[in-house]
This record gives sequence, C-alpha cells and structure tokens, in this order.
Amino acid sequence: MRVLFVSKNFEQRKEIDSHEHDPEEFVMLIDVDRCISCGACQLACEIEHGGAIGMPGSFRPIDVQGKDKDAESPLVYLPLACRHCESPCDYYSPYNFWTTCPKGKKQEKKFISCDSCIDRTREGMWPACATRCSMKTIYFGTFHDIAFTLGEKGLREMGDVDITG
Amino acid sequence: MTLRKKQDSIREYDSICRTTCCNCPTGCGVKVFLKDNAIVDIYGDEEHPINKGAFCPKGLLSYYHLKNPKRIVHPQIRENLNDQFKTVSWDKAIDFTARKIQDISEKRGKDSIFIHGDECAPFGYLAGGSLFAKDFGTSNTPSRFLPYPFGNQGRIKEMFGVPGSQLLMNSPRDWCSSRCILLYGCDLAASDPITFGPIVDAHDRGTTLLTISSKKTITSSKATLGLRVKPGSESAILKGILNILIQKGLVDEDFLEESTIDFDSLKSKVEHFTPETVAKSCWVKKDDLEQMADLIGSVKPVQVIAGDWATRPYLSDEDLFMCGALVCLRGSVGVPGGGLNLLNVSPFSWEAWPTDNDNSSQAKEDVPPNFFLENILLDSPGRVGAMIWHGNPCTGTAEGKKTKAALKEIPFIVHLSSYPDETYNYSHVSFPMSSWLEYSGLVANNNGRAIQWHNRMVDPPGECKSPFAFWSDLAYACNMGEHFPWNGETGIVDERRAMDSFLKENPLTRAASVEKLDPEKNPPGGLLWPCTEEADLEFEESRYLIGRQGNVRGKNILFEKQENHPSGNERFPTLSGKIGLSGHAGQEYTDNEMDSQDQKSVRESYLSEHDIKFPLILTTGVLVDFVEGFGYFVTDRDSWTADMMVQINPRIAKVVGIENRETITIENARGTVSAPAWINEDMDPRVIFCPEGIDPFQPHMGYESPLSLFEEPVGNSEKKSSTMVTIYKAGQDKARSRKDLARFLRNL
Repeated sequence: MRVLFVSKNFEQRKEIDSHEHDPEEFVMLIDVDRCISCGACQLACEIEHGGAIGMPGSFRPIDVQGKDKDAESPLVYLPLACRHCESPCDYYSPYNFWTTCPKGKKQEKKFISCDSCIDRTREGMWPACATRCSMKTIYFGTFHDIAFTLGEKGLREMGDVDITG
Repeated sequence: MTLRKKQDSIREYDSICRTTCCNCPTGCGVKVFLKDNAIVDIYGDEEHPINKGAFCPKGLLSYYHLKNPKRIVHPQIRENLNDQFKTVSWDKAIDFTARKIQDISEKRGKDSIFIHGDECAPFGYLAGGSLFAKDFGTSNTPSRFLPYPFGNQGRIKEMFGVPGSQLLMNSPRDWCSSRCILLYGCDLAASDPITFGPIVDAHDRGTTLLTISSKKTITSSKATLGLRVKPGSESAILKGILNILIQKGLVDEDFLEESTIDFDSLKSKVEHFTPETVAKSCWVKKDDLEQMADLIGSVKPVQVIAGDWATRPYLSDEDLFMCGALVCLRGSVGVPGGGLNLLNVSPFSWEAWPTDNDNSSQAKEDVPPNFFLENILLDSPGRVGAMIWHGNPCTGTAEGKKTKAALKEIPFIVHLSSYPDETYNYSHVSFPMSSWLEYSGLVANNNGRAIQWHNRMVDPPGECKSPFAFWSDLAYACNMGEHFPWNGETGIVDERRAMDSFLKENPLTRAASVEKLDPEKNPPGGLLWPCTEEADLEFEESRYLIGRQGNVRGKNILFEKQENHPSGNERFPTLSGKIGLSGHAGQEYTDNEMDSQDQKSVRESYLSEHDIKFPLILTTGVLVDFVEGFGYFVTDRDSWTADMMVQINPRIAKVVGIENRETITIENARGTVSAPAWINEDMDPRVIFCPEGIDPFQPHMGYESPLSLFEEPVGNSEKKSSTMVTIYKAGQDKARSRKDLARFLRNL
C-alpha cells in the first residue's frame, strides 16, 4: 500500500497518471486541504482493532504541522498514516513513520504496523479510517480508482460536480 | 477489485438500527449495529442528508461513554456539602428533591427556585423544565438563561421578524450554492466538524471562504482569507467591511430599494469606520481588510454563518445586526446560496417555551427577561433557594472564586449529569442521566433547521433515566401530575406522546409528529421546519434534477420572494414587510466602542513607558477534544494534547522563559489558572488562548477553567470573550516576568 498526500498546492497528478505503477496496487489518498485534525481516523482505528480506548495497538497519530517561523502562513493538518517504509518504525512518537525519531528518544511502546484493515478490504470495503473520516479526507483504492477520484476532485474545483446536493 | 466506502461492520451483528446523534447540534444520522441488545459498532448513516456517512469523533466516543466505569449510574443524595453522597433509589431521590424544593418555596417564595438551562441541553430537559417551572409557579425558567440577542427582544427579531434563535435562512444542503461564505467568530471545525463539511465541499468547488475570528483556527486555515483580529473587535471589522462596500458601491441597490428601510441610517452609522481606523484598532492589515470587502463585493450570493453552540453566548446584538446588514447589502436574502444562517436554531421560541405563548408571568417581574448565572449569584446573594441544572454549568462561570463561594451558599442544588464533575461537587442530589443511545427523544436544536427523533438503542445502566422522565417524576412527586399527563399504565412517562403534543402545539411544527420523524420508519434526515401544513412534510423538488425529489423533507430556503414566513403575513414577517437597517433608534456608535476599556489601556500601554499589571489578552473557546465532560473519558489523547493547553506565541514564551508543556500560570485580579503551555505560531504575541469546558475534577485535562478569570457579564448583553491577564512560569518570579513582558510589548 502507498500513501499519497495531495493538495491544490502541490502537483501529484503526474505520479498518479504515470503508468509505472501496477494499476491494482492499493493506494491511500489523503486530501490535505480537507483535513481538520479531528481525530476520527484515530478513533476508527481503535474501534476497529481494539475496542478498548487507549489500547497500544492503535496507532494513527494526528499531528499539527505548522510552517516554521512565519506566523501568517496557513497551518497544514495531516492524518499521518503508516507508510510501510522499508525500516518499520519502532518509535512511539507523532512521527512514527519516520525511519528515526526526530526527538532521538526511543520509547518502550511498540506499535503494530497498519494492515490496511485487511478484514474489511477482503469484504470489498474501505479501511475503517477512510470510511469514518469526518471530512472525506481519506480515499482508498487501487491506482486506477484513485486516478479517477483525483479527476473528479479536479472537476469539483471547477464547480461541475455537486457532492453535497 | 474495486473497494467501496461502506458504512458496514465486519463484526457479528443481528440488527442495524437508525437513530440521530445528539452530541452536538449538527444532528448526524447514525447506524447502530446490535448483537444481543448490546452495541457492537457505530457508523454514520450514509443515507442521511446531513452527514452522508461521516461521523465525527465526538459521536464515536458515545460508544465509550456507555460503559465507562467513571459514569454515575445511581442517584445520590446528601443533606449538606460536607457529607459524603449516599446512593439511594431513583424514587427516594425524587421524593427527597420534591420535599426540599417545596419546603424552600414555602419559606422563601416560589421565585427562589431556579431552573438553569443552556442551549446545549437536551430538548426534553428544556421542555420539561419550562413546563415544570410554569406549573410550579417559578418565573426562573431555563429560557431566561439563554443568550439575550437571540431572543424576542433582540435586534434580529426587529430586522427579520423572527428571533435569532430561529433564523437559519438557508439549510446546509443549500450552502454549496453559495459563492462566498463568511464564517463569523465560529470555529466549526472544532465545535461541529460535520457542519463544516458542506462548507469545505463548497470551498472545494470554488466558493470563497472567509473567516473573521480572534484566533487562527483550523477553520480559518481552510479559508481563502481569514482575518485574525484583536479579541473583541470583530464587529468593528464588519462595520469596516460594510463601509468599504458602501463607499465602493458594491451594494445591491435594487434589493435595498425593494426590501429594506433605513439604509441611510446604516450608512451614517458605519461611515467613520474607515479602513485605516479599523485596520489599526483591530490589528489587521488594511490591504487584507480591503481584500475581504472586495471578495464579498465581487460575487453573489453571499452568506454569513455565525452563532454555533460554543460561540453564541459571546455574540452581541450588534454583531448579529451587522451580519444581517451585510447579507442585505449584497441582496442575498431568499436566494439559493444566500442568507443569514445562525446555527443551533430551534423552532420552539425560547420566551414561550415549550407551548405557552403567554409571557405574563415574566412581564410582571421587575427583573430583566434574561440573566446570567453569575448575576444571580453575585448581584443578589441569598436569592437562590434551590437550583436545578443539567451538565456542568459551574465550571464555566466568570469571577470563578466569587461565584464558587456563592454556590456553596445555595441551600439546595440538584444536578442532572453523568460524571462526578465540578457541578456535582456543589450538589446535594445527583440524578444519573441516560445517554442519547439509551432513551428516545426529540432533537430540536439543530444546525440544519431540522427536527429529528432519536431512538432508544440499548437499556440504560443502573437507574439512569432521561431528563424528561426526571421532570415528569418530580411533577408527580410534587402533586402536579395533571400537568404531565403522559404516563403509561406502568407509571413511566411515554415520551412519544409527550413530544407529539409539544410538536402539535408549537406554531412552527404543528404538522410534524413523532411518527413522521422516526428514522426507523421514515427516510433519514428528519423534517425541515417551519412545517405547518401537510405539504411541508413532502420532499422538496431537487434543485439539480428537474422533476425529481430532493433528499430532505421541507424547505431549504426561507424568505423567498413572494413567499411568507408562517409567522407573518408579509414577504418578510416584519410589520412593515421590509428589513429594518436602522437597528435600535437612539444608539450611536463611536470609535471608542471599538475598544472596551481595558483593551484600550493595552493599546496605550504598548506605546507608553508604564509597566502595566495585566498586559496580555486571554481568549477562550472550544477545541474538538476539549469539549465539556470529555475529560472524564477521553484518555487516548494523553500523549498528544493533555499536556498542551495554554497556547502562546513563541516570542512571548521566550520572554517568560517557558518551554512547551511546562506549567504556565495565568493571573489577574480574579485569580490564577495553571496549565501546561502549548507554544504555537497561531497566536498573536499579545494574545493567549486557553480552551474552556475543562474543570479541575476531570481525570484528564483537570485544570481550572480560564473563564474563572473573566469579568462578570452584564445582563441583557453578551458574555465577555476576553480578559486581561499576565503570565509567568509556575514557581518563578512574577514581578520580573511582568517587567520583561512589558518591555517586550512596548517594543512590539
């Protein structure tokens, strides 16, 4: 599974449109412009995988990323998904997908890696975080589907597709 | 394989039931998955027109609330505050309460009994409480605690003919038609995330999204242009914008001519709010102000959204009037995508809640029709003989030290809640309340002008009951059972019948019934009110597909041309049939009004050599994970937000020598609040922010509420949204810190 962050402010189309990918590979698409850092994805993960609140098995951290120094710059809110990088994360930190913890502190708690809700995807359903996202920030599907979703988003910006009516 | 977004559980379940979430006024549809009468999973209802399957974390957390070990599930009583609570049966607690309030009313008069209310209380509590108050003979009904500018005396009522508590012209399903949305003083992403959904959808499609608030928020981070203004100067910004629009001729002349009166009076009122003065006194750039006016003036329709449940008490009559005036200047009334949309509206008129339109009992009183809890406690000590309240109102009181001392003097306090919070600690009786998943009731207060019904999904634990059942039981115990004639054969109140009669007797909902609202039997989404005749129960025609039905029953847009509001017989239900733009006669606005007295002193202090005592402005508001009561069961956020509370600018943090998460003390003449610091670029260096809705008894985020440092509000106005304070690192020399702060602010 890949995780792609998209925003009106940066160009992701090329990567999606390029034919280097297996069109059937799963992709998690995160529309940065819509995230309000509400934490529904985090809770979704807990409800799906545990049921007990605060259970160490849950791991979808949300962090508020502010641009440095410039107080006038807009904040970016991100659901930080596990990216399945090559060196799986051992750190309990908001940056748990980084190879090394930026704080340089190793914690006791270990987090279970994201299994993209395999029980749900087998049934043909999106993972819990994408399903429960309160702002329709997280999309899930194959490269093929995601290219379609991005196309639809582009249309929506031009006002052609109504998604509320 | 193509995967689908499907609100379905992979756990084993034997039935799916539909209900409505009551955690906030958004009113989301919910699908509850049940197995052997226990909830195994909860999802948003994808067929519901408001949330379309989305469900925010506040709603999801209801799942954890049900079986929380900290929850109070049995009634408790005690004779005085120094005693320990004793667990008793529900009936015994009711008898105890009835006896006490009857004794007190005999000794001190019936008006010594107070029934508190706030806009977030469930309908059953407000309706039952008002009915009980009327029949018992006390004039201190819940409606008197609700914000004045939204009631019948407010200027909004004068302008549009309906009180602010009922004015949501265009429902959220129509917001995507807007070309420009102004969010005035509300942080919807934090208070009502799902209500923010259609706004972000519209923005995604190219609608200009503008925000005016005293703090940079998650909501403003999504905006095309967000103005971060000096706390308390929001309405001056609006006046400045109106002035620019008028000066540049960006007003809808035809609409003003046809539908309004007294435009000249408005014009003269705002003309000295020039971009230069406003920019200077409100801490914004002149260019930004002009750009915002241009953005508003360049498109049509424009709509203004304000007054969510969290910020409502802070909005003044003036704020609402200016919001209304802005919509009128752009001719955006009664058209798709326009309107003044005040949130958390209810079809039940506050002054006449629930069904009686006779205000005589209040008119006789020589006290104002509305008041604040603080006014009653501090201005007329000894007036309160007994207080009945729901939720945790004690923690949000201004003048914390004094009000809490006054609370201890009240002879008898009844608390309806779920957790041992601060209010519980001042109470003599505690009644455990059912969660919205544990009883059936009406959802009347809503951000979408809808009335809905929520169904009982599971049995409540212990002896928890609904708020309406409490009032009914209390009425019977006080021998007033004839006024609550909805008890079934078993002696348990039939809430369906009770709510049906409230709906039938209320002028704006007389065609509605519980049968027509029940989400199990009807399409989800409830009914948009006003619904006064059978035709209003039909689906509106789709605005996109001609000849097809829309997805909600009722009218999306009010005040359309040639159409009357049911409460009037003119196009606009005002007496003249036109919108009055003069506001109250005899009120003049001067530049001085931009500054409240102590904020003015700050402005001077930044220039002067004097070392002033309290140089910083403290503001407050809600954050999505700091909502009242959540500190009793939100534990998973420990690592993220529990130790980050008081937001301060990094430059100020440096001056007082504080690091992230270190304890910071906020102080003024009214007391101190100590909580961990959150160093944050969002903040202006002259302003600090601390979320409200916290109390010292919470197991998580257990700190004194910042509201305790605020000044006592004046009756018939709005609550103060900011106060002057100084800060220092806990345990450090405050005199030095104050000096350093003064030096820094002088050089700013």
